[in-house]
Amino acid sequence: MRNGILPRGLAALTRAYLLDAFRSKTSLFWNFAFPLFFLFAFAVGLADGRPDAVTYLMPGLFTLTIVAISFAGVSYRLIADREKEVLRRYRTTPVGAETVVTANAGASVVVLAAALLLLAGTAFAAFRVSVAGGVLQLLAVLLAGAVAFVPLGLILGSLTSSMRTAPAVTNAIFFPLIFVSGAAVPFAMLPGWVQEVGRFVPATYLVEALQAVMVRGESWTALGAPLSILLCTGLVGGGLSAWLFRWESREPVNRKRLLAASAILGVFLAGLGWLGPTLEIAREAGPLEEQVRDRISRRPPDGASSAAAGGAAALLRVDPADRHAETGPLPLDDQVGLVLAPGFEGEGQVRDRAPGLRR
Amino acid sequence: MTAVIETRGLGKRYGDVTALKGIDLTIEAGSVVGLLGPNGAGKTTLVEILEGLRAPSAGRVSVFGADPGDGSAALRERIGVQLQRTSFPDTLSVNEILELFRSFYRDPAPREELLETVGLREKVGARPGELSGGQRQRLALATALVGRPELLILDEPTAGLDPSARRSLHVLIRGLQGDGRTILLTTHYTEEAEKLCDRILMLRSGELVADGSPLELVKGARGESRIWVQVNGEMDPAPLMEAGAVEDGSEGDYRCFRTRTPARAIEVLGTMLRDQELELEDLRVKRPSLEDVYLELMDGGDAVPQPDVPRESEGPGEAAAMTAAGDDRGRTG
Repeated sequence: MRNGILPRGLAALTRAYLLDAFRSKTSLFWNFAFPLFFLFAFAVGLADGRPDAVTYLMPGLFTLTIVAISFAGVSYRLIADREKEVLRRYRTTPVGAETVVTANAGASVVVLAAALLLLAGTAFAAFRVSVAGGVLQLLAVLLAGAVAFVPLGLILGSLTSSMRTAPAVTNAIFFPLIFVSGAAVPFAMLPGWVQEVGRFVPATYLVEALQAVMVRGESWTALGAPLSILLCTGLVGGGLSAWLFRWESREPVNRKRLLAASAILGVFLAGLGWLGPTLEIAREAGPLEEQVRDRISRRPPDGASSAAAGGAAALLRVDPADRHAETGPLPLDDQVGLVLAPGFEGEGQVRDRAPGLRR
Repeated sequence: MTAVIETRGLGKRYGDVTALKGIDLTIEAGSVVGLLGPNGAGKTTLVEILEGLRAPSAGRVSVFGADPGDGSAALRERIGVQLQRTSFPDTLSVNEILELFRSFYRDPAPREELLETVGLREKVGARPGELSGGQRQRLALATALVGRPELLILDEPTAGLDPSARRSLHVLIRGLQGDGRTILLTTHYTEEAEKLCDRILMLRSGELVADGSPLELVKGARGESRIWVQVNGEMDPAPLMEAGAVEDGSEGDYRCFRTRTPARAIEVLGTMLRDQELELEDLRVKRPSLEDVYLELMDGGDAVPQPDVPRESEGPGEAAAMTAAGDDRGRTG
């Protein structure tokens, strides 16, 4: 009964995880319905359903989906399996921890890929989104994104103690990540220091690669660097996720391993930050930025356009009302100027504001 | 016979709490061993150390000559485990769960055979949430049997089940004996251990306080036997008293005696009735049961067997008298 070169149980366990993902209503909702909800909210609310505008939103939306499903869906299921002692039962069988982690990761990548395909397909069908580069390149980048982030979700799941604390931990990482990576606000429009931070974050390179394919239509050559970064992230994350894996809730995270893993992750992210400037991730303001600016100047500062023009803020899930509370009831132009692109004037400005990024 | 399980000075502490104290245990291949004890006695801790789910704080443990804590796949191939609480992925069917567990083992038992053994053939398409408590335990048992284990460890296999579900699990577990398979099960029920096991271990506060076959344990008990005698006339029980029995009132037509040496008492009773030219109409003897032994050991009290003469023939007054007598026994003992 040997399954060839595959470890015993891997195929069946992967299948079990896949069946679970496609049968569980919760899983179906969060993996498939939720990204679509965001697509429609953004496309209609922010881009008026205009194909070019929706296209510019897609890199952020794809990234949001990948990060959300990895950090919430993937990690929660691991935590739930551990809390419900499903993993404990597996532990008493000959199946190994690596097999369980690999099956979980493999199935999660497939589910995430399916969710992204559905999202892309719907965007193409409903909003006639276009891809400036090749569709094959787009699929490669999306897959690389899934491969990079699913293991990070598994690491998070192994480190989080219980389902009670899981959402707090996830959100504490999710929102800053989405912000600094440029998934919510175009990277070029972020304040300089945020860009500096963003260079340490793998998600930034995912957004960048997606923009390169979808907006700028760049070739494989230009995608080499971000794709390698994503695949390396997946490799490092995959190794660490198997290493930090816990069968049982009562079994504490191994401190030595945690320290070593933090060191490895730290070195890796530092490497990213160091390497980042050599990769041209801060592009000149593209049509999206112009469009946002265009919309802001065209629309009167009423409630409806506030929601629309403040779309970047909406991407951040910052309620416009909250921003009012923080910044005071400023005129919309000033407000968006503050949040979206402080001092945003044009191409030169953006470049100046990201020193070192085009070294 | 080779030892399947061997522990020496096995101890486990959780912070300030000592769950196991110096357990020395050898379990031979082919035996069916019951681990009895109240909640918190350390039963689950002990079996979980044997399963490799917990690490001991002191002492040595070996299962098939290996340390279960190593988590070696070769060892886990040989052990089938039913946890006290088994959870399965709740979106999979019985069939899919069995196939999943079959994929973990080198030489799994055929699915049909497993379904047949545990009697879940009609439930192949059901998900765990759709099964009754007894059926879920059967499913857990089936997954424990998937790898054709030489050692089967069952942690409270019948906990929380109704009497008929328990009884059918008993039949099932008895059917798993043989083929040199070793079974270790924990339970709260003395009658279950008595029925299923050829060796019983009793744990109290992390210590092994009894170890033997059900018969040996009962024989070694300090408790008294009760004898009910019905004769066709007036009996003078003086010889019985001389033989160490104590008269303990009467119940209906029966005269009751307590004794620690029932065999001797019966012998004396025979001669006594012959001498007094009386005829024995009925005789009942109740030895201390395993439960009495258990209670005696766990509570440290001098438990005495409770009478179980047919109560339907008794009036309420007599029943009350019996209870009073029982209380009295408790005090004098």
